[in-house]
Amino acid sequence: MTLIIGILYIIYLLLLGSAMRLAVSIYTKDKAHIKINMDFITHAFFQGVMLLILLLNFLQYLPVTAITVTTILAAVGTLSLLVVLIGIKHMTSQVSYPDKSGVTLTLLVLICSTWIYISGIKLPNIAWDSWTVWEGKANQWINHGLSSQIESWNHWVISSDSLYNQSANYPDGLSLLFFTPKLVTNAAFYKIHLLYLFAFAASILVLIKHIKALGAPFFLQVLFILVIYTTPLLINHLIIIGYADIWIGMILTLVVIAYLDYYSLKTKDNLFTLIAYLALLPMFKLEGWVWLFLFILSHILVQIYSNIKVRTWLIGLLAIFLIWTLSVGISLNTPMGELILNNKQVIVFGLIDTKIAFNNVTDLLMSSLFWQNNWSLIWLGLPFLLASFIKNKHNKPNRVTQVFFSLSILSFLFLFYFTEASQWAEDFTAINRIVLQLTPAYLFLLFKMLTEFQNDIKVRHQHSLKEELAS
Amino acid sequence: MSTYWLLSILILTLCLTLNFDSNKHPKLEPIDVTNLIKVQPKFLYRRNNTFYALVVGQLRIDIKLDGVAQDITQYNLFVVNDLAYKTDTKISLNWKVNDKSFQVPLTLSTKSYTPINFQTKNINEVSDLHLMIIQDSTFGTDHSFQDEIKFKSISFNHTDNQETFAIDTNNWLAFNPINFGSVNSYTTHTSMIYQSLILRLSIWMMVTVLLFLILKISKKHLLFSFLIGWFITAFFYLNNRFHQNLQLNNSFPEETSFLNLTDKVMYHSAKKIKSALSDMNIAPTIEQKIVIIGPSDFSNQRLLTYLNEYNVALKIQMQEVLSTVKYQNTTYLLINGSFFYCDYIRKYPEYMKLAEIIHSDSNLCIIKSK
Repeated sequence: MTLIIGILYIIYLLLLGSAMRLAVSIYTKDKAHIKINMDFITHAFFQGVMLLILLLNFLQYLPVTAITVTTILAAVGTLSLLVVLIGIKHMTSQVSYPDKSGVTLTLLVLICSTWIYISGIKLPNIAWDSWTVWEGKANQWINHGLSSQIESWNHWVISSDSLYNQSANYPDGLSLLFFTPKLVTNAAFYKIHLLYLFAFAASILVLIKHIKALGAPFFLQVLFILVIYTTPLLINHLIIIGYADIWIGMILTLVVIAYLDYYSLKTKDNLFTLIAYLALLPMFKLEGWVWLFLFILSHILVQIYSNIKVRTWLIGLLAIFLIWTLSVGISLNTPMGELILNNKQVIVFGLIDTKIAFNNVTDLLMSSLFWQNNWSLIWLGLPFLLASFIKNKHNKPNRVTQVFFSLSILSFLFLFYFTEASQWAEDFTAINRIVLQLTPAYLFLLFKMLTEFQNDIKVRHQHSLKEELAS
Repeated sequence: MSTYWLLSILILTLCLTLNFDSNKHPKLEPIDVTNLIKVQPKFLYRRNNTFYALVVGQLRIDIKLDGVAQDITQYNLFVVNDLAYKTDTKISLNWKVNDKSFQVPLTLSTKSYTPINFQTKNINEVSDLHLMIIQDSTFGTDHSFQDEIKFKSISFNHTDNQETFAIDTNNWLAFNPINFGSVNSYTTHTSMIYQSLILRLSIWMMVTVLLFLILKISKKHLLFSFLIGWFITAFFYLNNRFHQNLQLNNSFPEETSFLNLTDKVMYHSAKKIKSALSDMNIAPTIEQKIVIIGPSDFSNQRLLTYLNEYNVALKIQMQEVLSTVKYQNTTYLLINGSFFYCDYIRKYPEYMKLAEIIHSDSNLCIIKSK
């Protein structure tokens, strides 16, 4: 029964996402031909997740009962089915079956996923933040209604109609994914396990497809799967499910893929896919805002970098901004909240509030990245990857992903060396979980570098990917 | 190409087997302390050269060093031979130096080598040396009443007396259990058994990159070297996953929402509280606020979870709660450690003005704001 409900939940999300993708294609008249392949399935699934979260977010503003929510979700499901049927009728579709090596790799991913599922099949929700917050909020909505306001202590004590949760400020995305199966079954936790595994496996298969398109030999593709499924902390988050970090990891990687796809073939479909992934980031964790900001910043930086005049101005302004921030400081009261930047304190609206002081966390960082065996040997490749960013000539979209990854690493180091987040390095908590959010994207970039290194090809990606997407 | 692989395999062998500790120590004979252990009668017996320790809750095995001529503070390895452990027991070596306690969890392997540092060079400062075996009820509700731990001998030794590779492989093959913190890190910072594996393989991989640059061989050979390096770590990882699966199967033989025995107790406490609240006509509505007074620990957080159908919060300080919660319709639950507040409220008239005790028994005190 667990399997059936879990699979039905995945199909429901696929249906929602497929309908959305087909509707976008029909509306934009972008394509009269739809290719059903791994990219389509994965993007449809994540867009289904986004649509469900947005729909439930909307319903949170209305005084709806659980039965009404269930009815609305069933109606949306039926409508999605209709859209899919209409879409198939109006557009020619072609199912793209994987070749022999594709079947082997898919089977390998399936075996690894089954092994993880069996490993955690009887494990209840043991992850503290998950049963208190992520699943905890879902339980509160089930008991008190989806529209119930959830507040932290300071607001709760003065309110007459809100519920309490210690981390009320966390985004609702994952909690809403927990909430949906609870509408039909009490034991929803085990069904969510399938959702995690499907999302992860689908993301990995998309990454493999892109690495293959770059010209990766079969053994490198197998190595990629082996690395992904034997990286200890990555797998722990798939066995002990309930945390949002792995979702951010998956979405961030798919942002990178969607960005490269969009610049390979500038269709409205691809642009919509990219925007959908970017929009998903802040729905799962507050850090999502940081990654979203860094990605947009990377895009802007790379776009204006080629203009020498603008670049000079930019460097000049950045230097003035840094000198001003460090010497005088910035203090603004905005409608979004306080913005204080100086050499002692950083407050950015409601998102960041920390004192600035140097903390030497090098030993803790070494333990986290190497000695605890969280990541096996993967971070040995980081210096080589960063060096490859400098050495090789890359096109603009690749540059954006590289600038984004470099800025992410710098932000991570700043966070733990200079802010109060160093306490999470000392207790070995968030230091590993934030690394986790970057790990799938890092592994994709690392294997992309290895493939290019093996093939000595720098532009092949563009050609092969273009052909793949155009077909 | 053959030169690359010859050199590469040779360096891999050296990396995995060499002892990087350059400090030379005087030769130390191992100290067998098997016959120096003291246990409460009936909890340890010997048959066919094997010791059987019966653990009911926990078992303390004292190691009495009276009459031992050697200075054990010179030794850096604690060895247990033919150890047969249970996945739901924890074993640690404990001692005191000038009344300061030290504890080292034992490496859970058939031949258990645990690195130790007595933190003193003066044997007279070391006291209270003992092994502690504890039935670990962190996970699951299906624990056996009694566990039996077997071993053949216990000794203090020095790493210089042992093959580095033998000690390391034992540690890499040792059992690293899943715990509540496993979503934060794979091994705990007190037991980083894979550190030397990662360090040794990292050195080898960097050397292979150097060899590749010097010998200018085909790139695929370097990639195959990476594959070998990864296979080695993956082998030890998968071995431990196998043991972790056994641990989870033992802890959770069937689907359950209970995390452990404490959790089960809190579930039943919640049921009693719900019944008491119902008797006092306190309904599970959003308007009716309930505050559990107590620390934000596992027990209280689980209680909060089980009382989820109420509008419930958790706060440690009763005084703070009474002074900050302005909303009238609030009920306070005092259990376990916070129970003394019930008397506290009675003693202080200023609090009696704010709240009244509406229920009080040996397990629970319920206060309602006025």
